[in-house]
Amino acid sequence: MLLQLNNIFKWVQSGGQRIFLLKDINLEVQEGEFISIMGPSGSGKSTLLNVIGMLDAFDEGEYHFLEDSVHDLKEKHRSNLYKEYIGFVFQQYHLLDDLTVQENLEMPLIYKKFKGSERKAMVADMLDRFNIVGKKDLFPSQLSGGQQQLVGIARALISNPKLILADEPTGNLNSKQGEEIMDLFKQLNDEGVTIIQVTHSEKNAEYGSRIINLLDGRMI
Amino acid sequence: MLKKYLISTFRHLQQNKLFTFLNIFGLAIGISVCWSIYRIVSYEYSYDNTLTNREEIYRVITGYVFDEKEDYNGGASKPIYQGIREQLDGFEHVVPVFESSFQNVEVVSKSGAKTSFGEQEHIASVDSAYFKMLPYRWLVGSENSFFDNPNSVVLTETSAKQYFPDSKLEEVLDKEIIYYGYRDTIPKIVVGVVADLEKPSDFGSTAFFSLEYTVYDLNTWTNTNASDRLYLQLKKESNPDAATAQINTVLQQKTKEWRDQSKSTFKFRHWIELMPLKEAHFSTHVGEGNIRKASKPVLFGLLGIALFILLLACINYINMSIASIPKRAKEIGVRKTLGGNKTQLIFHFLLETFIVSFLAAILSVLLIKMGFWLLNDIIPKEISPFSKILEFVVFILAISIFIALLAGLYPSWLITRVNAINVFRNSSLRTKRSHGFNLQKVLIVFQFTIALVFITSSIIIGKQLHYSLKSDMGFNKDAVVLVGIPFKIWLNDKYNGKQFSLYDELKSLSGIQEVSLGIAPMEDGYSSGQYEYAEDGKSPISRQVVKKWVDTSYIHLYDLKLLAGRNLHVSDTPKEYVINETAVKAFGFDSPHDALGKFIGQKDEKLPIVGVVNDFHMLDFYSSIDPMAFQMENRNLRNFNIKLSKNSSEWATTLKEIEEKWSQFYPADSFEHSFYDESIAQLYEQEQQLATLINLTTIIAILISCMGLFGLAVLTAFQRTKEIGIRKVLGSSVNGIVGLLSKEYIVLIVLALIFASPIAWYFMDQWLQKFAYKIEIEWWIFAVAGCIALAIALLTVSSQAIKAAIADPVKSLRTE
Repeated sequence: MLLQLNNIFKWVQSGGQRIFLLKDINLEVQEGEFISIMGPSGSGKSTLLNVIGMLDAFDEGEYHFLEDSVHDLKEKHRSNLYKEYIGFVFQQYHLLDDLTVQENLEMPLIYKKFKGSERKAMVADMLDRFNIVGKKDLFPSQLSGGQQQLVGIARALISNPKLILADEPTGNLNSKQGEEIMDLFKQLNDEGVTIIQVTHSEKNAEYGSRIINLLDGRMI
Repeated sequence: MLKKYLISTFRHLQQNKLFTFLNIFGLAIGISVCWSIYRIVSYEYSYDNTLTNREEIYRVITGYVFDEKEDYNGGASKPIYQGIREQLDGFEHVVPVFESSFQNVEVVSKSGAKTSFGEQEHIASVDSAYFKMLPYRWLVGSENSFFDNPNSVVLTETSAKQYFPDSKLEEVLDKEIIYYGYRDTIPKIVVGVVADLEKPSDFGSTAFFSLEYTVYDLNTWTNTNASDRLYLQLKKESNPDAATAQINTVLQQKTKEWRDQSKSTFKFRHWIELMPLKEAHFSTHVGEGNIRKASKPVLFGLLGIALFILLLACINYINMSIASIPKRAKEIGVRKTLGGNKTQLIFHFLLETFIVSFLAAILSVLLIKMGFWLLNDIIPKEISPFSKILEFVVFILAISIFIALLAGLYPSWLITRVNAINVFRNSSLRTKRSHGFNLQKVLIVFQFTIALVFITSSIIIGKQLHYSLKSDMGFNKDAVVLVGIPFKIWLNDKYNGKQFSLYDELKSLSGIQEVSLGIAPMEDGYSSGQYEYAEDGKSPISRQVVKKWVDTSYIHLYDLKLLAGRNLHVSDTPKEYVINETAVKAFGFDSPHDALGKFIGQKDEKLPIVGVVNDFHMLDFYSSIDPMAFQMENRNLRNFNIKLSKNSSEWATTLKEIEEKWSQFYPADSFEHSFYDESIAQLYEQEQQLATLINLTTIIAILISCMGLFGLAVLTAFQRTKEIGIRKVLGSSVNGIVGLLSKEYIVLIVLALIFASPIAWYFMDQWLQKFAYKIEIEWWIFAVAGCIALAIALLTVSSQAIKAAIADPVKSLRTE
């Protein structure tokens, strides 16, 4: 088992009332799964993803990730945990504009204090694997959306995470680019990477092995 | 890893060229000011700091009360050193340094040819204690040969090279130098050359005679001459206060002996004080006209200026960094999710700040050179901007780190508080605009407060200077040229009385309106004394009166007004007085007319008052007008006041003619003229320098503040693009939007004016207190300063406001 959420609640206080963003979420994810989270706008998909990714806190409930109880961890340990095991892919790619493709890939490794030679090897490996060696010295603005997302995924994968969290990874792409990205996810999943994606698209959801539907913060 | 950080920093700086430029330029100005002022201050504090025994060395100075005024003389009566040596213990060295100057010095070459070097100062008579206290290195010759031979002279390396430019130091030995004093001629043989002491130093003697033991008269104990210096090195365990008291006891004892012997009733009081050597350079209270001194308050003021300017530049950086956080929020958020922790992010940002300040430091090299060039009148010549490269490098690194921490810490802390989720959730920029007072606004108010203090000060200083130079001084100084007969010629009987023949010759020149002999109105070469007026049957009124010797055309030449009575009559000996209004009041006469015919004067020579003139300034505006009396006495007239014709294009020719006439009577090279209005302006040289300095500081402060304001305006306009777009869609006019964007700055500047005005008022009031005649600080000065600041600020922000206001709202809303 990779992670387990037990009775997770998250709310915000507004005008003396609690507005629930997440309500009693129970979820167990095994290694190697490919899960799609679906639901209308405002149903809490992204919030759930952020909670799983430990970017966002929750107000009640338990969260176990591998052997660790996330709800008991200090901020520092939590960030160490996600740094090591989780990679993020964003709808807007969120590449760093000032850095080249190669340097974008290298960034997480720098934060994880890998040595220079190791970093070089890992980046070269990743460029090779994604077939973007020729683009390594370009800046994000010089790439198409699909290519940027490719880099985004490569960057998420570079430190060998156990889990990839993708928030509408194809949301800004045309259908052909989107399909390519989804094929890539499928392929990664086949190689053993656990993936949780948020999507609006039924078609994309079908790439996954399991679909979770959310409505008003509840799993249905 | 560092390399990667550096690359990304440089790209970031490159992409934000405007802000990089504003920040680097602003900080470079700040750093330049800091370095320049640091150089000045460290120079002033470096006097004699290489002496290992500096802490134990004191100079004996003499305090005295004269005319009921306390004053200090940098010298000590000659025999005091003997008194100390004979009667007191506890001194390591007692070191007399009796300096004299010579009219001319001649060097005799082997062939017998003589070369003259003109007037030479700082030639000191010393004994062996001098060389024991100070670490002189003998390049050639030795101490023994010096003190064995009374006709010997020891030169410093500098003066040896001056007198014998072509000789090696060894060859200088045994050469003859002839010193021409005012009274006697002294031939001397060079017996040694010593290396100069490390500069700068309080010990500035250029050559040494050996001081012989002299038995002094009792009255020399009461004579103090600034050129007779006395240094003491105390024993480590000695207490300077106790030493002072002991010396004073000796001095008072001798003074009493002198009083008893001479039966003098002369009222005066004197005492000595020990001035630590390290304070000597800052002893502005001790009158020593020919020595440049530094004033500690001025140095502290300069340090304050440096700090404030640097602070202004750092504030710019802080403000622009904070304002650009929303723009960078995405980057920060991504870095966080990629695993960047707080320390890494802070380090990255501090590194960026460090690099910006380091680049600024490099740019400052250029600005410093420019600054030294601009201020070369004010900065002492011995200070060069980059004489110590290593020191500069250390300074650059230190100040870059200092700036990185001062300007970078707060923004970097803010950066770590950026919430990644918020950034991603609203892919657009979320800019919380607070309507209350945030840090940025506080900092802008602070900046403009400083700028306004400087603006106000520079207006007030400028006004006071103008007032000092241009207001009515009671006499007309226009087109007046002064020519004085040099003292040594004056003393020479050969030229006795020649000034009157020259006077007649000059009067006949067509380019000259009038000539008068006498001491110029504003000139402290007068004598003063206690004058008495005794009304019948009443006790006499005694007043300190300034006496000026003038001739009969003086009053007319200077446009002085005779309020009562008549002008002086021609006379070889003093016969009568013309006094000023203040003297009329001082002696209690009811009116100028009332004063006529009354007898005033020193006890034994009372003379009648025949006329009263209006008050005029006799010193600078720091001093009030004192009671004054004109007197005619031919033998004391040695200054020509020449009123040139109104047509200034003739002046050059007229001056030539005057010079020609002059050389018929006096040696040609003794002709030195000065325009009176220029020499009056020179009285205020320090004030002019202060004005230059404050004006420059004002410009810098305004420049930096405006750069900050500009950067902020750019960012604000950027952050409010959406708001502006919406307002425009809703029908707001361009004017309305420009007003909206400019309005908040007006409030800030008004606030700054409220803070700045009392501060500026306080400091300027203090400064003006020194003047006896001064301008009033009026409210409109502050209003003008405020308007200047406001105009500059609006000019700065309005370009951005207009740009934002005329932008196409469709575009701004879409890109949002």
